[in-house]
Amino acid sequence: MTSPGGTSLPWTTSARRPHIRLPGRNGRSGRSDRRETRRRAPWALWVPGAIAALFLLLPLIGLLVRAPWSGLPDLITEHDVREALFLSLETATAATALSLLFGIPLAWLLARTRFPGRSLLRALVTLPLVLPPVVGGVALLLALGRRGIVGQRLDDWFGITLPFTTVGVVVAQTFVAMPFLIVSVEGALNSADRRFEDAAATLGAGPWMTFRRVTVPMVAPAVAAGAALCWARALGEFGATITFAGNFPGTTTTMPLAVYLALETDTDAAIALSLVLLAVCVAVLLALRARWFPGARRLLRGRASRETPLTADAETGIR
Amino acid sequence: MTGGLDARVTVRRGQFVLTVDVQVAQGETVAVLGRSGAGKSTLLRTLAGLLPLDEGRVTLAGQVLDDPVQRRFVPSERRPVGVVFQDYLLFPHLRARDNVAFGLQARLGQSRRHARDRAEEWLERFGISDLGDRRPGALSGGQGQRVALARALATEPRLLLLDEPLAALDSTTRGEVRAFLRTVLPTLSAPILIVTHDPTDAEVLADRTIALEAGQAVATEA
Repeated sequence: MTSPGGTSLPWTTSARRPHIRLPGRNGRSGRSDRRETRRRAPWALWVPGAIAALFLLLPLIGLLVRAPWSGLPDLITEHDVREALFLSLETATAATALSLLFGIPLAWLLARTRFPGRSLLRALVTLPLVLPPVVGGVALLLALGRRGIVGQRLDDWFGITLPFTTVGVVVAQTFVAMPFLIVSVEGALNSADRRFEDAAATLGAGPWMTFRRVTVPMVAPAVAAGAALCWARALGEFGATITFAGNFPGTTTTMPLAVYLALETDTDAAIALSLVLLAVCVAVLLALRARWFPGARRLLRGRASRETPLTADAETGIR
Repeated sequence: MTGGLDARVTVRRGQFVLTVDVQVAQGETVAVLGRSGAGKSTLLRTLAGLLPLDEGRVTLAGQVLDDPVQRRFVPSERRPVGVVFQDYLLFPHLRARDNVAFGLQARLGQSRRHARDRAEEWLERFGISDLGDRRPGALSGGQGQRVALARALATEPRLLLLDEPLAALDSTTRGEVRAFLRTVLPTLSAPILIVTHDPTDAEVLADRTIALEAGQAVATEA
């Protein structure tokens, strides 16, 4: 699922992974061979590998160990916490909805059409993926702030002010998170079998109907995975939000901002808030596996007529 | 040739040039026989409206579908042409019934419910009404072929194109599907063009064969 020009995200890759038939997950044959290979794994690889795994897990373990479990119910039902949590859920969901609404069409344009500057646009669109979020926030202020090039007009003509409002939070989150969706969907569109679109055309479907009823449903697993990543990224957004939307409890203080604030005054509260975010993220991960892999599986099954033996095996392997 | 296909096709794709004349009368089945790379698929895509002509002219039932000189090109979605693709290309996310209903909604503008009812009739006609709820992945090769043919015919095409209708099948199913096509194809009034690499298929299914080699017709048998 490497796409020309497009980056592929881990989730989009996994959705198609069954094709490759990973040893160790699917295969029943040759298991003893593999065990031998594992025994001979070189120290030079597994020692640093284990350190890496430990390094990634330790902070989470620390969080769990230090968590004030007995006081937790009170801490997370506190008014401020609930407020921040709901604000986060609302804004992240709104940002994801905006990303779907505008990101899918852009992904389609990048994958399916040819226009001058397309490669440049693709590079720029993915820029927020690597751009420090704070820089994104500053850029947003300069563009959409009260004296920004667009923000000034919005203020003068419509009386709309974006910075330091809840809408501003959504804008900052969308800016940072939408590229995740675009990259995921564009990768899937690039590797999708376009002959299905030809088939739709021969059945009388124009471009718009083909897009709605064939193209999008066929990349649905990538849309779902992209949306989940986008949502998670929006939920954790800190830098751009605090720069562009500030930190006003009730309107712009999302969970990550609340954690940061709490850490200066009340460590236990910070830990509790972090736990909530961690739980939400773990839930997203689980949902990705449980909810959306069946979707990928269904699509694979649809191709069974062409790739019978492989798919049959992958079917059992994925479960 | 009032209801038939009349095509003079020239398509250039890099070094490769396809130049072939094809006429198919109403109720006639013509096979285009050739090895891979002979230009069969290119011809089929041209007639389906997925690829424009460089030179020549395609008319169907008196209607000009493609004529570069007149700057006329009817795109695929507005051509009364049904295609059964080589590996069927049934939409994997839709059940068999909805695959058949797709064209009824798209081309004939029927409501979803009406299209489903009509699709059901097609499945019944081909003896696969019990498969309507299945997704393409759960269909055998022979069943997929029937659904694909039903899907193409449901739009009431005035030209039917079959791309290697038997190539994707194992030898047992092959005989079965061949027999099925032999009974169904003669009942259709639209001209039928079959693209195949297998002389037996051409022999059995078609009234006439055009042999294609390196983009040129080499001999036309009666």
